[in-house]
Amino acid sequence: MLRKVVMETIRLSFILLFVYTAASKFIDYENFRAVIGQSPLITRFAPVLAIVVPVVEIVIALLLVIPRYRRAGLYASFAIMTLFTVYIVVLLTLSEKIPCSCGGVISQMSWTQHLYFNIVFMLLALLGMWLYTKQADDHPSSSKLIHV
Amino acid sequence: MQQPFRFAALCVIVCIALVLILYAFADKPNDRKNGFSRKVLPAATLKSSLELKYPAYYIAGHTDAHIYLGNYSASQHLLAVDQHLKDTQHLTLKLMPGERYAWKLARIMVDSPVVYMAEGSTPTLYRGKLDDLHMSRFLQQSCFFNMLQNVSATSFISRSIHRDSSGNSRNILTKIKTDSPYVTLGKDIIKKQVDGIFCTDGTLDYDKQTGKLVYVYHYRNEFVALDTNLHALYTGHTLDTNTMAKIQVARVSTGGSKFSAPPAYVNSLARVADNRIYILSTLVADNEHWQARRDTEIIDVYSLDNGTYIYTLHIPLQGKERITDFIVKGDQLLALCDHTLNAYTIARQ
Repeated sequence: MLRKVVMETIRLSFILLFVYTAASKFIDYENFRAVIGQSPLITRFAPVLAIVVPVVEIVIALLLVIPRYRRAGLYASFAIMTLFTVYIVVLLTLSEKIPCSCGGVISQMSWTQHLYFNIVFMLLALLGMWLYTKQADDHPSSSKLIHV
Repeated sequence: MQQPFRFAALCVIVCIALVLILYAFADKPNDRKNGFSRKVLPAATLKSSLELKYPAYYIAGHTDAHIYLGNYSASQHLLAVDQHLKDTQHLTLKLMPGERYAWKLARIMVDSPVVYMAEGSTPTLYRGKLDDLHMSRFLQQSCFFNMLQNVSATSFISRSIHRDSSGNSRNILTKIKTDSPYVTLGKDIIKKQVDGIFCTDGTLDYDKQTGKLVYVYHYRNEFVALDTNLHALYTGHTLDTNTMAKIQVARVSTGGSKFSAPPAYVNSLARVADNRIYILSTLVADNEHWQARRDTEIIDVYSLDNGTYIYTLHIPLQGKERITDFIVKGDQLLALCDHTLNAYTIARQ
């Protein structure tokens, strides 16, 4: 029971996170595109990334919604959060003063707050992945019990 | 059971590799040779330093005995520091009750025995005496501005945004006086290269002794000297080869514009003193160590008479913080680095 609640909470918080940030990126598209261009790492790819990033976020949110793809969605969530986190770590070690472009209220966080926020979400995704895999492992045995 | 953790480990490795590849291919300032060389004098030596209680100070002015610091986040606060950086005195500008102004934009200018506080978005200007700090409204007939420099008791030079008949905005210098004509536009002193606003950004400073003003562009190797009647005297060039501002600007539908690529800073700050122009440069010369800027600030010195390059000063930094503001007083250079005010002795030639 508890496991189920935890799994659902993780899933819903990721859906909320991705839909919210993707929507604010699309609504404020011109601004988002300009701001990510200011990052020296991705200046060249800014026009493409400005579309790709929110689209990927929406796709992951959809995966999490569709029951069949929930596990894949959690893996994808973990992957994208890892990518964002590594990106922040590299930016912070370069000590560049760059505006954040995550979208919505999340942009109000400082870079260090961002780092913690991302790490928490990474761990959540990891927990979710583990719980789902465990469930899949346990599932065949329970069905066997019913057969017996 | 093992699978998610194996996936996670793989994921972390792939992501690190990906971001490092991005970093390796990113344009980094001073990565390539900049194509100029400097004549570097022996490095400045730190004489004394003072820890400030708050961040966000700027240098509002100085007299022989004191340095005055204003604070971006406390508009009426003025900190007086003696020249040996030993004594500090916390002062507060006094306004009439009920005065309203855009305090976040207000800047203090100390021109002993007078002190001004100005803000260009309403616009509002206050004037008072340094001994009692009672500020009263001044110069009611002015114009909007985003930079202001007092040049005499009755006149100021401002940088304002001018919108022409076709709707294009650009920065121009204007003269604001207490008597008619209150505002004079100096239309062709600041030259547009990209968008007129960002590409023309820079530092304005005034030399009281010679009555000359200097406007140094941030993103190109250029500065212009002018007199207080907005007549350009000459155009000078800094050492580097950036004749065009390397910036990209995007228009945002909410109005206004934003950088859409990291701007290539050339000259981040400039001050005029003793008939010389001191320009804080962000570029490393070919004859300097490629990491010269890691724990040093580079200040190029030019003659105010004709804009020719004379020599370069290296200012050793104490911590990670870079110089946010500085002034030169004789053989002393006073530099603000975030929380610290440092006094250096500089070589002269």
